[in-house]
Amino acid sequence: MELYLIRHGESETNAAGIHSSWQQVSLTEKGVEEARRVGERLLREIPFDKIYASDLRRAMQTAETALPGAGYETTPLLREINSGAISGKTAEQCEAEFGPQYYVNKTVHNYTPYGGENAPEVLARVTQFLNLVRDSGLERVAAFTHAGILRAALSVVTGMPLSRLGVCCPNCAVAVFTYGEDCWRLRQWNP
Amino acid sequence: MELYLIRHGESEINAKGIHGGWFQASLTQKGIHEAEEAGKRLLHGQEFDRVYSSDLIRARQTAEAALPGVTYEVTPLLREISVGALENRSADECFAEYGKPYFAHKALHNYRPYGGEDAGDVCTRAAEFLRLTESAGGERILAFTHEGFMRAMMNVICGTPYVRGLVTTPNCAAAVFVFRDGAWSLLRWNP
Repeated sequence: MELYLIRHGESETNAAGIHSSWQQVSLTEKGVEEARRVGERLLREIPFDKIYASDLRRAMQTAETALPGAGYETTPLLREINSGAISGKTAEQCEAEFGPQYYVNKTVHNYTPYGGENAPEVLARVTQFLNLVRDSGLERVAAFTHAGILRAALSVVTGMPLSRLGVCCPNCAVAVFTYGEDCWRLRQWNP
Repeated sequence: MELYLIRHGESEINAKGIHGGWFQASLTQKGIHEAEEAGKRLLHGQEFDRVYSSDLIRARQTAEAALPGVTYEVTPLLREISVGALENRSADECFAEYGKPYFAHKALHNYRPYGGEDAGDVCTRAAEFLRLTESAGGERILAFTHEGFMRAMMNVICGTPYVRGLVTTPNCAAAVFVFRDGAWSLLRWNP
């Protein structure tokens, strides 16, 4: 089976350099265009059995724009990593309020100091979603989600550390995973 | 700076499903065709400041089929992991000679007992090639190489464990890494 994870298009908070977290922010015009393009270029020809989306607006809008009329099921499992008190703030504001340790925490997605999630919690949540998809018996699934979730899936599947370093995850990046012989593998990253 | 790594096309070793290592296996007809297709699909229209290839014949043949007439530099840094005495031999033959320990060594990619390399050795070479690339400069670099080397690069840049990395690397798979703000990251896998 194949699982396509798609990061949402540019959101208003992405454009403003603000942590989005669980806020319900919309796509910018550029984000809408990115979603349309990834649908056209990569996704529309693929016969997906089921489409999921994070229940955050930017992911839902990306699903609707990339695959218009396709219908999807939302799930909070696919939400971005909850970054707690740094949500809605810029990097400069966070450094001023929380000190330079903020940069370290942000890099490794450790938001426990800010009342948010940490890496093990996100990896558990993503593992839960991967198991759900694995056990569904479906052949081809798409899930519109967030950078943290794409990275977390990569981490769960390949064993790499969950980090902002080492892997680029632009808006509308696509990660393709396959399940076979009792394990998940990465087949493509950002094709 | 961008670094493109391309795995060679199908070799006689791949077709037989036996250990390759530093054995000088040639491309099959299929492998030549794969290389030509990869050249057209991925590389034509791109300008590379520098082209490298592993000095093993299957990588060189891939370079020449993908980019006819290209000038390239060979380096043993880009070679596949050496499997020492297991070269050009099937798993059955190896098990017959070495018994159960062979399976453990193979699973851990530790070929040192056979006079070959282990994961650490290949990762050291990958890191060395990365430093060489950085100091040589240029905007876009291309290197024809092998699965083990690409796995090692994923370890060096992304932290993916060499022995676990469940990353699909078919013949002529490509990886694109980007150097930005003083750090390398994976941009694309198998586009």
